[in-house]
This record gives sequence, C-alpha cells and structure tokens, in this order.
Amino acid sequence: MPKQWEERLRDVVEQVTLQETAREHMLEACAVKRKAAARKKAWMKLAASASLVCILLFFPWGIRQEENGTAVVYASTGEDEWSRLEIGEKKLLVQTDKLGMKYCIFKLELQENYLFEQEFTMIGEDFISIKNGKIYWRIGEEGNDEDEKGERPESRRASMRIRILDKEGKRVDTLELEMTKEGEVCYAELRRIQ
Amino acid sequence: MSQDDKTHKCVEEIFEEYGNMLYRIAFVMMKNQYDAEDAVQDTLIKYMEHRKGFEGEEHCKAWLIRVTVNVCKNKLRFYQNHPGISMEELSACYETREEAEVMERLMRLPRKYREVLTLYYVEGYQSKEIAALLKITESAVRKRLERGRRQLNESMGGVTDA
Repeated sequence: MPKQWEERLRDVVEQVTLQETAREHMLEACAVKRKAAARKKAWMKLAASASLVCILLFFPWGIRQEENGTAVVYASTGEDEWSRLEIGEKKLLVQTDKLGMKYCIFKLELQENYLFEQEFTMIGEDFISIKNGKIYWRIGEEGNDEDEKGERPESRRASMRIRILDKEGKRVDTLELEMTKEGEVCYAELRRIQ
Repeated sequence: MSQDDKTHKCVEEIFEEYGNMLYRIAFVMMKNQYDAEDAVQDTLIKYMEHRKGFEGEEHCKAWLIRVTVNVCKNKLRFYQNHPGISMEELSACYETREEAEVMERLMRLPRKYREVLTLYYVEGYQSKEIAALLKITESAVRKRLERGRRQLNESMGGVTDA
C-alpha cells in the first residue's frame, strides 16, 4: 500500500520537466549574464590598469610635490654656503656679523608664478626682515644689565609663517620657519602647517 | 582531494545534467512553472558566479540542490500570497486526472513536507543527506518525512478510494 503512493508520487514528480522554450530562455539568460560578467570583468581590469597608470604617473610626482612644496627654504650654514631646509629637520645655522649685529640668513625660492606672504608668529626681542627673497633674522640684543641676566631665558625663539599663494592669490601651502638660539648656537627648523 | 582535482563544469553541461532535477524541486516548492523556472535560472547564475570548484559530482549536485532550495525559500519569503498552480492547469499537464490529483495533494502539503518528500522519494536522498542539504537535523527530516508521508498517504487513500 505505501509503495503504491510512493511510486505514484515519484511518477508524477518525475513528469515535471522543463519545456524546451524555457530551457532556451534560461541558457540565453545565462549567456547574457556571462557576457555581462565578462564585460564587467574587462571594465574592472581596465579601470584597475588605468588607476595603476595614474598612480604610477602622478603619485610619485605628488609625493615629490608634497616633499618639495612650491617653495624651498635655504639656510645660510657657512660662508657662501646654503643648505636646504627639509621639513622637520633641525639645522645648525651660521651667524653673520654685520655692524655688530648678529644675523641668521635664509633664502626663499618659489616656483614660477607663485608668491608668498609672511606672518611673524613669534618674534620677542628679535627682528625679522625680508629683502630680495632673503630672510634676515636679527638676534635681539641680550642687554648687559646684570639684574636682567637671571630672568633671561636660556633659549630664544622666533618664528614666522610663510604662506605660498598661486597666481590667483589662493593659498596653496603654509610653512613655518622656527629659529632658536640655544646658548650661543642657532638652529632653524621648517614645518609644514596643514 | 587537492585543489587541482576540483571540478567546475560549464553551465550548459550542468543544465543538461541537472536542469530537470532542479526544476522538479523548484516546481514542488514554488508550485508554479514560472517561479520554478526563475529559481532554476537564478541557481544557474549562482553556479556561474561560484568560483570554487567542487569535490566531485555529488558535491556539485548537492550544492545545486541546496542553492535551488534556498532560492525558492527566499522567493517564497518575498511573496506574501504565493500563487500556486490550479487543478485545471495541473490536469492539463498530466495524462490522467489521478496523476494530477496526486500532484495537487503534494502541492497542498506544507512546503517543509513537500521538499523532504521530493528529495527522499523522487531524488533518492537519505535522511542524513537531506539533513545536510537543508541544514536541519536528521531527526527533523525524519519527523517531516513521517508527517508528510502520513498526510499524503491519507489523501492518496482518498484518491484510491474515489
């Protein structure tokens, strides 16, 4: 008795078969899907290749630009000797004596069509002047008053911000030049302001 | 079995070999031709997108059945009131009225009984294998088989008596 219905069940279900038109439609749909997948794969490969090319072409340049910026600051580190100041690097400076005043000198080189404007952020008793693309940091008088000596800080510091502008006056970069005097020795450090 | 031994047939071969089996399972679950065809098509597309190979024929077949069942379940979840095939339509599909009635009685069973009965009695899978395919316990398969069998047997008895 149970075998009867089992067999009948198998018979009726096994008669369920796909019609030829449905088979064709399904295979067509698969072919379309496969083509679409192949196209997508090809596009993805193309996009990946294009991205790679862009990265190879522009990224190293971008890094160099980032490192160099649009301006290069040199510091006077010896007689007629200029050393390029790298971002984050502290450099020992040479002090130039002019009419009894001590100066540290920097040179600013800008890419073509770029301008700069400056802002003195810390100056204290020092004096910073800019002339013909050169930055003169005059280290302030320490004074001879014996009473002041105890109050005088062991290090002095001056800093300025250099804003680089493109030809349309749009700011493209900001650098901070910090000058410190520790004892008798002067240092400079260049930072990029985000 | 190493990775190299894994097989991945082309979709046409798979369709030729298992198309009808998948359609039967989908038809029993979906209770109508068009949704069953859709389910098989979705399964074939999933097969095409399946990157990993199969560890032999049985693995591939089991994978296809599992995907078909899941596709059907998803479709059934989507439809709140799923339209089933009518007795008139079934009658047109079968030579005898009795055959159409057997199918109709199978269709009247809850989906969970239909799927295990089909896999067990039509596709010849064992309870343990069905449990693995449907990701349910073997005892759940046995219970579903028993209840489905009882309900179907009772209704079949009605057919025989008629």
